[in-house]
Amino acid sequence: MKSWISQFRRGLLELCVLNHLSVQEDHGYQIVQRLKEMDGLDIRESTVYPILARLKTEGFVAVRNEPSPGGPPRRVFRLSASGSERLRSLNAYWDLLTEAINKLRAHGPES
Amino acid sequence: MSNSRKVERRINRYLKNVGRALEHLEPGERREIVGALRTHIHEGLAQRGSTPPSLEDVRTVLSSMDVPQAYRDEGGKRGFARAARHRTIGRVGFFFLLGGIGVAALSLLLGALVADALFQGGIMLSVVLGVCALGLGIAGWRDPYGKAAAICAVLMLACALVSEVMPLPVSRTATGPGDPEVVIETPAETGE
Repeated sequence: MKSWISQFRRGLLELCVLNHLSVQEDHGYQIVQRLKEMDGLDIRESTVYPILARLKTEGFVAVRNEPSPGGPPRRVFRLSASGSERLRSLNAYWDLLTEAINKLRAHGPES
Repeated sequence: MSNSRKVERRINRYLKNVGRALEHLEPGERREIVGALRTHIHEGLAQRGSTPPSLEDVRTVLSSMDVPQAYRDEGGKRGFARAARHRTIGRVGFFFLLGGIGVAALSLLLGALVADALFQGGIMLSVVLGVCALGLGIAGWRDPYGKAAAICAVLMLACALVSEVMPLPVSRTATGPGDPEVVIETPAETGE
């Protein structure tokens, strides 16, 4: 059960990161803080940064450096064209899933 | 030691441990994560408002973050299995390379001492071993042994190709144990 939730959360996290970046480009610290506010996802740096690195390797996000006062340059992440394409298909799949699950639940014992 | 150096050393130690925990990832991906984390730590310190940050600030920021071990857990078993596969392939490639070099050296020796045919056969075998080492080295490129196998195999094959195109100027003796001896006749003195 724990492993299933962990896998599920990892997939959801990618969807959340891409959705966040579709609204605005942002640097890692802000992305982590923003996603930490979401209940149920249990966001940590150790989950967000590996996902950002993988998305960058796969070309779904682009990175640029921005000067930062008193520290190393900030890594600002933004959605690339192929990232937007991936987000569209992930969102469509998510809508399909939630609709199907809601239909099932409507006929279940809870309804 | 100055405070800023202590602060940097503490941050570097944390990041080094994270880097170790991420060994199963590609070096580029690992660098990306560690670099982003360094920025994250400095952002956290800036949020606390103390400039320059004290060692206590760094401890507080780092304790609010995941322990380095958490990054290993995030990699999952799949990442470790992939790394282990690369390591095995890379090392097998390296053994093929050592075999190729050994056979080439032996064939040079036997070719010079015994027969030319042994030299030709040995070089052919070492080329085959070199090609295998190159293939395995490329497949296990992420392992240092795999990388070494691929690079050295390219050099070895290039040497074999050059020696094939441009034969060595020193001629080896072609005489084997069964070859007839050369008889040199000298004109006999007649005494006349």
